[in-house]
Amino acid sequence: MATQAPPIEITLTSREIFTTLSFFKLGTFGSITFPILVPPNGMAVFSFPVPRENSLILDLLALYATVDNVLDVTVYVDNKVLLWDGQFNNNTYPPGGILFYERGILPTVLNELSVIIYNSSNQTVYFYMRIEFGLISSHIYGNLLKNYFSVIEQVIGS
Amino acid sequence: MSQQAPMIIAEEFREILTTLEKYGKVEYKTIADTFYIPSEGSIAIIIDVELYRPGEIYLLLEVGFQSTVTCLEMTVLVDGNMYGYEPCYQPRLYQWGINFFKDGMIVTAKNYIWFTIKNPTSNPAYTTIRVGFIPISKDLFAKIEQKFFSVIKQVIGS
Repeated sequence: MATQAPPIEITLTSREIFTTLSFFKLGTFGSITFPILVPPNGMAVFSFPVPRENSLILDLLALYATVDNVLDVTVYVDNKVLLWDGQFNNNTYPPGGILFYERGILPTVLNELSVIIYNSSNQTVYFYMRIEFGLISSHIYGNLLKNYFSVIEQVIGS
Repeated sequence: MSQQAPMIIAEEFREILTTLEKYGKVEYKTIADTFYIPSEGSIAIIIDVELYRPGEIYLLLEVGFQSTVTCLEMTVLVDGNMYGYEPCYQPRLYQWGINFFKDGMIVTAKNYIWFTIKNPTSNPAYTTIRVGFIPISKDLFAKIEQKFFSVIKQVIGS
């Protein structure tokens, strides 16, 4: 009688899926820094539209301002506030930035990552925002939601 | 007739990598070197995976960086994809470089890793780059892909 290969079941966390996607190069993963000039007593609006048919997963967010305590910073993910700091000070944040992955979350941007910054000082301030990210196709992300989280939905929906 | 129990792999993918290292299937390596970049000049560093380790690919786990000059412009390309872009290096945005592995990512390099560093200042720079990586045979990678990834593929592909 022909032997039948045993089925393989893999139990993964959603964070583990993120790692696996990067290992198999299923998307673009990496680090990028956006420099933003904020004029004296003015404001700056920065926007990063996610390429069509893609989803941007935020792994890490690192911020740096050339002057402390003069910037009012708000970071939006699809028009929802991810971070607000009314008086940005570099020492409020850990060197290297906020590692979402380590905190057990992976914010996902479907349309736009944006930042609005107000400068209350009389000098030009440079603000730097670095993200570590995974850019995966919406098709893959949609199927992850559909297949992987369907069980979670049943639990929280009942 | 005895029936073989289904094989359940509940390990995290990073745990699989740790296990492979423990049993001598892969070895972690660190290389570092210091480069001179003239004022308003640039350098390119290319790690040709196929040339140095035929039959192997690299899993890039971390990149460390330090320089005598800040605001360097850096780009990291892996197999034609941009894995890092820093227009004006600020140490505060990094903590001992980028630890992809700790941040949940594994950068798989099948062909080459290409660093480009530009020094826009009028001062010459001495820049040290450290790379932590695991060479893994293409055969072993293919086996992992075959056994491990098939289940993931069901989730993201349907």
